[in-house]
Formats: sequence, C-alpha cells, structure tokens
Amino acid sequence: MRILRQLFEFTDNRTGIQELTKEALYENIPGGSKWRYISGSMLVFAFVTQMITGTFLAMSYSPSSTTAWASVYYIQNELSGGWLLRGIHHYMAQAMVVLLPIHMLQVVLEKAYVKPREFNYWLGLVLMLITFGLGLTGYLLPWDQKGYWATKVATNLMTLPPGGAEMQKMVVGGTEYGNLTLTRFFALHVLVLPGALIGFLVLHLALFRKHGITAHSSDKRGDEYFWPKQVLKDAVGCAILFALIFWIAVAREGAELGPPAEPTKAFDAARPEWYFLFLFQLLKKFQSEFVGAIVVPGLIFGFFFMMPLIAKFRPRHLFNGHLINVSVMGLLFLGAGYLTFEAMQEDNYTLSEERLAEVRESSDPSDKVELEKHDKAARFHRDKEAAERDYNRIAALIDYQGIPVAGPLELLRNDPEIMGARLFKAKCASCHAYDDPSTEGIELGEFAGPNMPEGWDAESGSDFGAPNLYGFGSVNWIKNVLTPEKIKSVDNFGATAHRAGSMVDFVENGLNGDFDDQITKIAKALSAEAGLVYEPLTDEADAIAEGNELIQNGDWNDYGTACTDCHSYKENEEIGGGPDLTGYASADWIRQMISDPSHSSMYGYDGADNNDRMPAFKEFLTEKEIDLLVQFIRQDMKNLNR
Amino acid sequence: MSEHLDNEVGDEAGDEAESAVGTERRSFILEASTGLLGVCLGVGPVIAGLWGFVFDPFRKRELPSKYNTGSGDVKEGHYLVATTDSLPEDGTPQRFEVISDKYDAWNFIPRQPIGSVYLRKLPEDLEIVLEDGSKKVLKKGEIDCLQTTCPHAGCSVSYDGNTNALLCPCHNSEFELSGAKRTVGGKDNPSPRSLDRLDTVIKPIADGDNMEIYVEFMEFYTGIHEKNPVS
Repeated sequence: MRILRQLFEFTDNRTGIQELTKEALYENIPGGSKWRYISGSMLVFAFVTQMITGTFLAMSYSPSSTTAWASVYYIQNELSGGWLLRGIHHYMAQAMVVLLPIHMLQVVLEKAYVKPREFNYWLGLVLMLITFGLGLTGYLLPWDQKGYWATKVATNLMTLPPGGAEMQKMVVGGTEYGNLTLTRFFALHVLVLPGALIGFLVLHLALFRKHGITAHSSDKRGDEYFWPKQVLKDAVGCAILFALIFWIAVAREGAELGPPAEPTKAFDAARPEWYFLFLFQLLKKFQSEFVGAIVVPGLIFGFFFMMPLIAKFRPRHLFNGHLINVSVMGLLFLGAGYLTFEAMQEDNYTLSEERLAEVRESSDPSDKVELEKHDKAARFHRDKEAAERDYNRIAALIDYQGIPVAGPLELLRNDPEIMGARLFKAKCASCHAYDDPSTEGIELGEFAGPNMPEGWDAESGSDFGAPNLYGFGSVNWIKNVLTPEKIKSVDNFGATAHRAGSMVDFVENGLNGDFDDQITKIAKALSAEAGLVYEPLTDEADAIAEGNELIQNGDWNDYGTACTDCHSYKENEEIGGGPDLTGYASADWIRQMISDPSHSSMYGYDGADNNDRMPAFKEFLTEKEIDLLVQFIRQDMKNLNR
Repeated sequence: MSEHLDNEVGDEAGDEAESAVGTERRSFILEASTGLLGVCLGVGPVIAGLWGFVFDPFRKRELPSKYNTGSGDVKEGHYLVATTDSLPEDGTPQRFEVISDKYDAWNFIPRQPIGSVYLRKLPEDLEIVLEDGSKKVLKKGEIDCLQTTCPHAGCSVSYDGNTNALLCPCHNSEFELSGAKRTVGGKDNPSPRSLDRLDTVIKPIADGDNMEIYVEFMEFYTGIHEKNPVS
C-alpha cells in the first residue's frame, strides 16, 4: 500500500496528474447534470469509435483500383467479424451525421452560439464540414459501382468555381478516376481529415471548458460536478448509441458492398449516401448547376456562419435576430428533410398496372411526365437489382477461382454469365430471345427478343425475330424444333424466313404422327454432339447410337427423308442447304454460326445463301467476345458448383 | 538551464533603463529569425510534398516506348470505335466503348476502355449548331457521335427505347437523339448544354462498303454552358 502511494506521489510530483484529472472531472455544471447535455459527448464517442474501427479496417484495406474492392470484399467475407466491424464503422458515420444537426439545434435553441461563445460555434461548423468530408471520402474507398459513380458527381461539382478544375485534378490525381484517386482519398480519409478533426475538436473542447456549459439562470437546482453524475448520463447515452448501431449493423448484415466499379458501365442506381440526398435533390431544382451545387449550399452555410452576428440584431423585444435564426434554421432543416423525402420518393415512383396501361395510351403531356417518372424509377430499381445479381455472381466466381492479381474486373470481364449476357443483350437480343425461366420477371423485356406486334402468329407471319436461344442444343430445345406444333412458334422458326423453308415443311408433314420416340433419340444424339455441361447424357449411349442411325436413315418418317439428305453429318457430305450437324451446338459450331452464318458449313451452300438475316459477327465482335457469347449460350459457366 | 534562463530575465529587468532599445532590437532579430526558421522547417516539407505528390497530375507522361508509336494515317487523339456496318439504318443509337492505352499511376494498361460514345447513322438530315453559333447540316447516312457523359454532373446517359431519347439517371437531364436538350411537358432539365458532339473520321476498309469510324474522343468539363475539353 505504501509503495503504491509513493509511486503515485512520485508520478504526481513530476506530472501534476492529480490536478489534471481534477480539472477534467470536477468541471462545475450550474444547475446540475442533465440528459440534454449528452449530445456533444455522444459525438466525441462516435468519433472515437470511428478511429478504433477505422484503424482495424485500415489494417486490411489496400487503396488501389485493382485491390480496393478486393480488400473490402476480403474484410467483408473472410475476416471473422470483418463485416460487423465495417458495419459499425458505416452506421456510426451515419449516426454522427444525425447527431450533428441535433447538437447544433440544441446549441442554437439554448442560445449557446451567441456572445461570448461565437468562436466555439464557428469551430463546431468547421467540425461539421470535416465530418461531411469524411463521409464523402469514405464512400469512395470500397470502389464499388455505387460509391464510384456517386463520388464522381461530387468531384465533378468541384470544377465549377474558378480554379476548381485544377483543384479537382489535385484531389482526383488526374482527369479520371484511378489508383491515385484512391490513394488520395485514403490519405484524406484516414490522415488529413481525422487529424484536422482532432485539432479542431481540442479547440472546441478547450473553448467549451473556458466558457462552461450554457445553463439557464431560471434553473433552481444546485450545481454539480461533471463527475460522476453527468459522466454517467453521458456514458449511458453512448452505450445506448453503441447498442443501437450494433443492432443496426447486425440487422442489416453489415454495410452494403456493391459490384466492383466499372468506369464504362453506366449505373442508373448511383445515389449518394442518404444524408447527402438533399443536396442531390437540390441539384435537380436549378437550371444552373453552379447555383444548385455552389451558390445555394454556400448561402446556407454562410447563413449558419452569420448566425451569431444576426443574433446581435435586437430592435424589438419579440422580433429579434435570435428568432430569425431559429426560424430560418428550422425552415432549412425542414427543407432538407423534405428534399431527402422527395429524392427517395422519386426513386420509388411506381404506377399501378391499370394506371400504367392508361398512361401508356394517353397523349396528355402530364400523363407522359408521369410515365417517364415511372420508367425512371423502374430503371433505378432495374440497375439496383442488376448490381445485386452481378455482386452475387462475382461472389460465386470468387468462391470458385479466387480474385486474380489483376483485380475483380478481370473476373467480371471474362465471365460469360455477366459479360456474355451483356453482349447478348447488346448484339443478339434485338432478334433472339433468351427466355431463361430462372431469371423470369427480372430480365424480361431485356432478353425477351423483339416486340411482336399484337395478334402476331406464325400463319399471319412477317419475319420479326429469331429463335429463343435459352437451352440451345439441349434435348428439349432440339425436340421442340422437331415437333410439328412447335417449329413455327416464336421460340423457333416462326418469326424467321425459315418459316417457309423445307425444314418446316419436313417437320410439319414428315413428322406429323407418333414419332416421339425417334425424335427424342435424334435430339439426344444431336445434344451429345453439343456436349452441354448441364446435360451430360452419360447413361444414354444406346439412345444416342440409335439416334445417330435415325439421322442418317430416312425410312422411319412419312417423307422417307433422312436428316443427312439436307444436312452434313459425320461422314455424310452435305447435299442441301441446311447447317452441318456434326458437332451441332458445340462451342466450335456456335462460334462458326456467330462469326459467319453464311459459311458453307452453316447456311451457305453451292454459292447460294439460306441465311435469313443474321449478320456475320466476326466483323463486329472480337474473338474473345464471341467466345463469351458461345459460353453464355451453352451455359458453360452458369453453374460453378459442379 | 532554468536557472540560467531566470538570470537572463533578471538581468534584462535590471538593465532596462540603460539598454532597453538595444535589447529590444536584439530580441526582435532573435524572434524574427526563430520564427522564420520555424516557418521554413514547417513549410519546406509541405511544399516538397505538394510539388512532388499533389501537383503530379499536372505533369505529362510519355507512353512506354513499346506503345509510343503514332496512330498511322489517322490523326492523334482519334480512336477506332466501330464500323459503319454495325450501325442500324433506322438511326437507333449504339453505344461503343473507346479503347485506348492508359496509365493508372504505377500501372500501364494497354487497350483499356477510357470512355464511351453513342454512334448513329442519321436516318435524315440533321441541322446542328456549332460552338461559334453557326449552323451546319449533317446529311442523311452520315455518322453522328455523342459523348455519353452528361454535361450536367458527369453521370452516364443511356438510350431509352420507350421515349427514344438519351436519359441521365442522376438528376433528370434528358436529350433528344440529336443531343439537344429535351423538355417534354415543361419538366426541369438541369443540364447546362446539349450532349457533347465528337468529331468522327470515316476510313474505308480495303474491300466492300464497310468503313471504319474513328472518333476524336475527349471529355468536357461538366456543369457549365461552354464545351471546354478536359486536358
């Protein structure tokens, strides 16, 4: 015991620690401790939480365009509790942005911003700006689509004031986003801004201590010290805040991570973090972006800055500067709230089925506007859902093969399910449908092929589109082509010039009877040529052998015609205009069809060309792109857990 | 140390009457030089950092020698984007990526998408207004090229078949296929200017009617009326 006391005295004599602690804890609070004094402490607590969680995040984060997303994915999915730590960091940042205006509102309502506390109020405003800066810079760091596109808007706005273009170049590290943008934003987010925040916070607290708490003289309760009652109240507030954030982080399964940023892929669902939505919405209101992004926010901030000076204005008892401040500030907060609400509402603007049909028919301009609002919200949700699907797909790819050194975009760009599907949409879907039942209701309208006019059927028939390529080469797909009732459906030859061709004639007249067994065997034999991974046909050797016989021998059908009378197959040389069936729907076969459908092994023969209207895509697509399409159509990579 | 300091202070107080002026001057020079030295020590590293790191984006960089070859008979800054056969006759715009070699700080990435454009074959004559206010008619069948970057805040516009327009997903800017600002139903259209038109050069391929389309690709500053290229 004596030793301890000696040790304490030794330390205290040389540091004055006792005096310091006393000064820190025995701050006098006129009128006693109060719950409403806790907001400042909660903000400090939130910031400390950010420093702690941020330090750990920084230990696993790597700021570069090839590693940023990958390292955040790693934090999110590999590190034990990484998702939770990141979730707390994410939602605590939002808590700070919620607490800031509350704290500010309190300060103004309690008149703690007027003489002699003006400087402390101004310091508070600076702290608020720094906090916003932290939110903005942090949003980009995961380098996902959402953060990338939202932050891009913010840095584009930087160019508006004079000298802004140069400023932007310095912050972004060039004219476009890349490695240097991330290293700079990282440095800002973890060094510059937190450093500045700590500095200004020290000043803020020092001045707060100098002036003491703003108590009302009407308060008749006795004074208390900061310790222990106020500290306890502060601690309880902070504990509740932490519990709340912890709960939100768990309930929402951590912070969102979107698919990796793709600089050339437009992202219709780009939105800033919700607390910047009011600024986002404000931008829509002004014809001049300079006004919406710089002047109006500048004026508002200027007003906040001037508030202590406006408060000096007291001509009459009732109508004074303080009242102006409170009412204008109230209006501004309400306005920001309304803009946030409006922005959210616009993204969820949905018309009912009936109303939608009505509006589509109408030529009334106000109905048109309504329809466009609906369509715009629909595009927002479409891209949001597409982003979710892309993310899930990339996650599956990462489980399957890991993230390559070249980064997550390498995975994405080589994936037939993502890039192949996009290519299909861009290059094939104006004629071919791709009616995948597993994505029904999601992609409909994008992969649904051409829009058939109302009342269209194969008999009335103009040529509108090409076969549905979902499941191309599978037993079922081939069976459908060989089925009299189906060959002229829109999924097969119905909407093509082949509708009037000899294949349709053969199927409708030659196979119009009970040929199910033969058709199935032929389909299996041809599908075996395709060798689809999702339909291996391993136990079907007999059926395939029989099917091969049937293909080359026409005795069994009503026409007495063999497939090989028109199509080449194995050793049978081609004598008609039908495509070669050797290796039908195999990768090489599809590659040839896409590259040049008029090739002699496809629809060309003897100088003639039976190709309907399919372009030779070797002119427009690279070999790699064609390969992606081939793999997409064959679903080679669709299921990675085989 | 502290004793010595105390003595000095004491001396100064004692000699005040005789050499106050001299002490003042000496102390001013001392203080000024200490201050100057302090400022230099602090500012030096900051300037060095700004110069080397922050201002780095203003420096031009040469391509690695392997890639530093001219672009043949097409002017520099023009990129092969598509061929005329890949554009439909009805004037539906098609989006193409512009591929180029680029640096990303410590990485050099050959053949990387650096942006995208909408190309279309004009289905009819189109009168356009040039920078200087003069008008020019693009003939039917000519190739028209628009930047996909929205001039408002730099989001990426996309073609919408329903409205037959180019729509921006961010702040409701909308454009006709000609690039002109669209104002259906008197709605807000916050864009300060029409979509940015890019120059194209058409070059025949050895055989057939198919031609190569080269685009003089550049980005422009957003949010202002003028079309100022980002350099």
